[in-house]
Amino acid sequence: MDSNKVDMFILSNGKFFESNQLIYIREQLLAMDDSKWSLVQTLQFKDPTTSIIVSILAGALGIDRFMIGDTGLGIGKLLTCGGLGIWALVDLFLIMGATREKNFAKFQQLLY
Amino acid sequence: MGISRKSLYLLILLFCAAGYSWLMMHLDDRLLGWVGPVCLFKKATGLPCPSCGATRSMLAFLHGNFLQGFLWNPLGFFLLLALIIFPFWLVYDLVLGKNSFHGFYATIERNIIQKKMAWPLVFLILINWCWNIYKGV
Repeated sequence: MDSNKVDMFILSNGKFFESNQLIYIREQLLAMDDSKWSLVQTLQFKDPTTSIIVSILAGALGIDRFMIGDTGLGIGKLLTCGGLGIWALVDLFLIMGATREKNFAKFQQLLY
Repeated sequence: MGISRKSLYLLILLFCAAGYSWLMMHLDDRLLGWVGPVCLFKKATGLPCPSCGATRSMLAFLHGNFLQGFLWNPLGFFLLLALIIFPFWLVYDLVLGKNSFHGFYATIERNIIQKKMAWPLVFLILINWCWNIYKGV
């Protein structure tokens, strides 16, 4: 794929991924066929900033985990008052990384 | 996609350990009231969360007061059920090298987001929440 397009993608979607994933994503996109460009453009990613705001406001109810698609963990959090409050606190630090991992997994799905 | 088998089993075992220690702490009178309520939602807003009262409910069940247990919080029953069943299921899986719990978890996660499953459950949780606030748990 054209490196201009790849740089455009990285610029507009960089905040959705970990920095070490970006290098890999860049390589993957450069090697990718041009016909997939429209698909890549239509991918919707979850914003880590949104998930940390949700985690602060409604983390004890597990809404943050539901939002990024970890439904099972969300139920676990909801039924235990946010894991006795401890998990809700821990998730304040984990949720942004977890969101980026989910985004990366979504990007990976496109490749195969 | 989804959680890997290893981390799921580790997480559930950790949870069961935490759950049992939590219950143990409340069963012993000397430790009772030592920690108090831990619910962040309740501390922040003053209102109970949907699962507040689950500990008292489980303790009532363990003492054989089934009606009292349901009156505290019906979710306590399901949590107690999970606490009893999950460790045996996990050990069974780990010893025999099977994948049945992971498969069960994946099936639940896939099906529960279907509209006809999700809406009734959300509705039930909301009703339970209203009841909790009304009771002032």
